[in-house]
Formats: sequence, C-alpha cells, structure tokens
Amino acid sequence: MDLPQGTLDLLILKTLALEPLHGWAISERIQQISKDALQVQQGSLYPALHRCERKGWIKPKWGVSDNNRRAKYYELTRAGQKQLQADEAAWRQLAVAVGLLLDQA
Amino acid sequence: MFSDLMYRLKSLFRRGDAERELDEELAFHLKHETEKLMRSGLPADEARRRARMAVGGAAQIKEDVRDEWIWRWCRDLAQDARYAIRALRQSPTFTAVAVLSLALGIGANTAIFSILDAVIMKPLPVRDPGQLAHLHHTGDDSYTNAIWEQVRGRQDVFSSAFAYGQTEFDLADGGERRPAKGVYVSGDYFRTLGVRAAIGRVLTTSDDRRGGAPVAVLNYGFWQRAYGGDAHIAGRTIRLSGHPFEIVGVAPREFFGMDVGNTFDVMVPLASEALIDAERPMIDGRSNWWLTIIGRLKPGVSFSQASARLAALSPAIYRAAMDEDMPREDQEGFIQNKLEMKPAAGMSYLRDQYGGSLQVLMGIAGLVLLIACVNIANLLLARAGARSREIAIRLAVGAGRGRLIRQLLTESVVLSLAGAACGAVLARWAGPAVVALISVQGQSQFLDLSPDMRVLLFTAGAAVLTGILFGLAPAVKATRGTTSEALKQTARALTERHGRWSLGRVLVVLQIALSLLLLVGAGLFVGTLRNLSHEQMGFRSEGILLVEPDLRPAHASPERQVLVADELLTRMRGIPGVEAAARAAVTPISGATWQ
Repeated sequence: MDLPQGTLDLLILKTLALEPLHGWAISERIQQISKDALQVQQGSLYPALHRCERKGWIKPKWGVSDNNRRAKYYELTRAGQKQLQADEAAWRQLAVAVGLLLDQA
Repeated sequence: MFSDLMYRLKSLFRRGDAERELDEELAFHLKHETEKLMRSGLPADEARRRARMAVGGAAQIKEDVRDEWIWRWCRDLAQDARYAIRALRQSPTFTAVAVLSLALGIGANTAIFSILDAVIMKPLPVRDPGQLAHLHHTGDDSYTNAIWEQVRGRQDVFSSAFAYGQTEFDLADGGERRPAKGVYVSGDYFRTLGVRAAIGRVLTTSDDRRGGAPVAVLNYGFWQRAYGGDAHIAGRTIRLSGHPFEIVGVAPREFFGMDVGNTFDVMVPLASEALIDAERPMIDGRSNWWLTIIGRLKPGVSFSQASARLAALSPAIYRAAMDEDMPREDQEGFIQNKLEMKPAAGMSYLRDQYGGSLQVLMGIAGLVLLIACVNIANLLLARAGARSREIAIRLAVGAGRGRLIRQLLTESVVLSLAGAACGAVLARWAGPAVVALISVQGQSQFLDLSPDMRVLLFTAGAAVLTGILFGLAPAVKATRGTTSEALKQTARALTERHGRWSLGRVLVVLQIALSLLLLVGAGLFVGTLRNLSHEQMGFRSEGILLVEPDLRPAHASPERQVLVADELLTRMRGIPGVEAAARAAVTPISGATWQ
C-alpha cells in the first residue's frame, strides 16, 4: 500500500517516540505494527530520515546494534515531539472527516 | 530554521563525513535485510539478491538523501533570487532609489574601512613583522650613528638589526630642484626584513662600506614613473644630489618601507651619506640624531626579555657613543639614557595622527548607512502595503509564513548586494579622494588601498547585514494579519490602519533622530575643520612664500654662501609685487627648532 504524501514523516516520528532506533529497525517496526500493510521502501525512508533531521525533529547518534555492529540511531527531539503531536491531531481530524464523508455522502 | 541551516552547513563543509556515514547506514540496512531473508530459509546468495532488489538502487537513494542536504536549499535560494529580481524590475523607481542610497551608504563605509584597514590593520609587507622591535628612548626614537654602531656591535638579543634615516635627494643636475624621497639604510636592512628584489638585487652589508662603490635600489612605483618600468634597469646610473649611483635593483611592488602612510623613491647604503654630505657627514656627527633602529628578535626571545637585556647594555652603549664636546654637566644624564623597544608593527606617523579620527569617521559612515537602512525600510513598508494582496494570495494558497519572510528577505538582500556592488565601485574612487584630502600638497601620503580579504568580507557582511536589517521588520509586518481580511481590504485601507506606535511611525521617528545626530556631528566636524584652517599661528600666513635654495651642489665655501644668500635676497626684493623679503635658518612651523 502506498503512503499518502507526508505521512511517512509522521510514522517515523511516532515509531521513534518510544525509543531511539536505526533505519532498518524503523522500517521493520512500521511493517510489523501495520501487520505488513505498510512497507516502507528504502528509497523513501532515508531521504525522509534526513529531512526530519534537517528540520530538527530527530537527531542521529552512532551506537551499537543488538548484534554488535556500529549503527546510526535516530532519536526524537523536543521539536520532534511537538511536531508529532500536531501531525497526529491533524491526521486524526482528517481521517474522521474523510470517514464521515465516505459514510454519508 | 537554525537547525536547518546548521544541518545544511554541516553537510556542506563535512561532505566527506556525511557521505561516508550515509554509505555505512545503507550498508547496515542491506546486511540486516539479507539476514532477515536468510532466517526465513533462503540460501545466502538468493537472500542477498532479493535484499538488494528490495532495497532498490543505492545510487538513487543517495541522490535523494543528498537532495535533503545542501542542494535543495541552494535551488530554493536561486529561485528566490530570480523571483526577487523579477519583483524588483517591476518597480524600477523604487529599486533605483534604494540601490543608489545603499551604494552611497555602503560605498562610504567601504572607502573608510579600506583606509582604516590600510592604516591600522594591514601588516607591514615584510617577513614576520610581529618579531620586529623598534628602539626608542624617552619620548624619542632617533639615534646618532655612533649609538647605532654600538647597538650593532654589542647587542645579542636580535638575530639581526638595521638602522635607517630618511632624507631628500635632488635628482636634477642644477636648475630647479627635483626632489626625491631617499632613505639611507644599513647593510642588513633587506636581510632583516626578508624583502627580496623584484628586479636585480637588494642592498647587502658589503654595499654598506665607507668608500665602497655607490649603489641604489629603486622603489617599484618610482621605477615605473621615472624609468617607465625599464626591464634592464640594473646597471644604469642615477644622479642623487649630483653624485652618480649605480642602480642595482628594484624593491617589490608592495614594499613601501617601514612607515605606514609613507613611501620612498630611492634607497642607498648608510655609508654613502658620507659621500653625499661630504662637507659635514651626519654619519660622523655624534650629535646628529637622524637614525631609526629596528631589530628582529631571536626566535624564542620575548619582548620583555629583550627589553631587559637592552636596558642592561644601555650604559655601556651610551658611554661609548658620547660626544666628547658635550658639556660636563650633561654627560651624566646622557649616560643614564635607557634603550627601550616596542613592536615595530605599530609605528606610523599617519596612524598616530589620524587613527582616532578615522575611527570617528567610520562611526559617522556607519550612521549614514543606518539612516539609509531606515529610509529603505520605510519605502519597503509602503511597498508592502501596495503588495498586501499579492502576499495575502500567496498565504492563502498555502505558502508558509516563514517561507514568505525568507522570500521577502531575499529580495532585500538582493537589493543590498546590488547596492554594495555599486558601492564598491564608488569606494575605489572615494578612498584615494579621502587620502588626498588628508595629504598636504607636495607631501603625498602613500597608502596601499587595494582591497584585501578583510575589505571584501567587510563589504559583503555590510551588504547582507543591511539587507536583513532593513528587510526584516517590513517582511514580518507584511506577512502578519489574517488572509481573508487582507484579501477583502484594499491596499489603501491596510496601510492607513496605523496604530499610535505603528512601525511606519517608529521608523520615521528613528530616521529623524539619527539624522539630527548626524547633522549635529557634521556641524561640529565642519566647525573643527574651519578652526584648524584658520588657526592663529602668531603671524599672518597670507601671501607668504617660502623659498628653500640648496647651495650644496655649488660646493661654495661658507663665506661665499653668505654672499650668495645676500645677493638672492636683494634680487628677490627687486621682483615687482614683492613687498618684503627676509632670510632665516629656521622658519616658523617648519618643525625644526634651535636653542
């Protein structure tokens, strides 16, 4: 399933809200939680990660992964938390509105 | 916004790091994907192939990521700039007025700054000028040749040292004098300064011998002026005050000697002073104070260490250099003189004389620029009123406010950059004009006003800063307010909605306050200038001419010289229009004194 424009940033922020993760883990997490409905392509994941970093929503940190490999972890910043709240609220409003329209129109 | 800029700058300046980290990040991903597929039972080869397919083209991903780095920002900037130029073209009168006032403001600042830079900040064009020490004793920095010989022979704090004395040569063979600025330099002058010849060779210790062949080194500018830049100048002869000197070389173009604001035409060895002033050489006179002494500190020796050592050597030096004819009661005081030193980089008559005034002038120029800023901010505000519909529409179709402010700021910076470009051209012309203003006729000041990195940075910085300064407030104001309101109202209604302390009024008040400040300052400045030019010197200076005949080339005896002088005076009194004439050894305000 293709993601609507701009949704990927929201999913990334939400995924990182719990704990810092590296890129691969983020795509796995999104796939798992959406029960394989959402598959994030690398081609869009990494540009999105760097875009979020540029906007100051997430910041990178080099760490060691579970199997002892050096990995680039991303964690949510305060600005990122705010952005997440705003985006989440906007998304829910939109979803409700679209739902209403589809039900009743 | 700030993190955005930092991120982009980081990716720009640490490009290599960023690329490496990205490679590593993507490789890490591929490895994990492969392992996941292998765990699901695929053979290693197949897993790797599928993972690579799933991941997609690494090159394309990297390209997309890089897009997030600097390029898109540059692209946006170029787009903004193009849009700004288009918008400015639509109102040519506004643009012309703004660019012109900015050109004047920034031009004046650049001109003054380039002078300030040349006088105060530019290092001497010699090797490692910070290690050069300039000797002085109580309130004075001139020495006799005898002291210089003692310093040269005894000192052990300098790796090398030199002395020089300024003079004036006559280039003409009889007839009207053609003065040239000359310098007597001791043998180690060029070696100590680390200055090499542009053509031929410089002077060395072997030239600085009594009775040696007379040789001279020319200043680059003098060589260009007087010899048309003759490439085969070495070996030609120049007559200095009637004596032939062989030209051995030309000093480099940027070398003007040791004194910022001054320059020279010809340099000859110190010892040749005995040749030119054959009757009474200053070089032998133990009471002729005419030399400046400069030394280069040995590596690892600090100024304070060298000062202490020199102070300890002082009594012996002065004792040995004392004039035997000196009255007994003065001898004790003479020996108690102490040699001190200060950094040679800080020696300049021009700097002492004008450094303070230049800084004041810089402040005034800054104030002028500030007024120009306020002026343009006001114009922009009026323009923003006229453009409120355009801005409202852009906000309505989804332009972010920050993005719009950036667009408007780009417009003001484009404006100020255009102003700076015109200003820089203006400054190239205005700088020398200001220098000419402070030069007395016939005593031209020499300053290297060529723009260096500091001047360029200053101008660019001034341009960007002024652009933001005058653009920010109008931009913020223009993008405020709800869109629907602005769309409904006409431009006129919007601009008329001024509160008691609206931005427009504040700007006008600021403008008047600054202008008043400048007016009062300029008034005082003109007053001072008038006072200086009308200074009471104790005599009427109008209609007085000073004639300085040089009788040396005639090699006349002192008795004959008096006769010649009397004859000259009689003839001058006979010239129609001459009311009175008088003869003096020391004329008023010539700087010379007698006791």
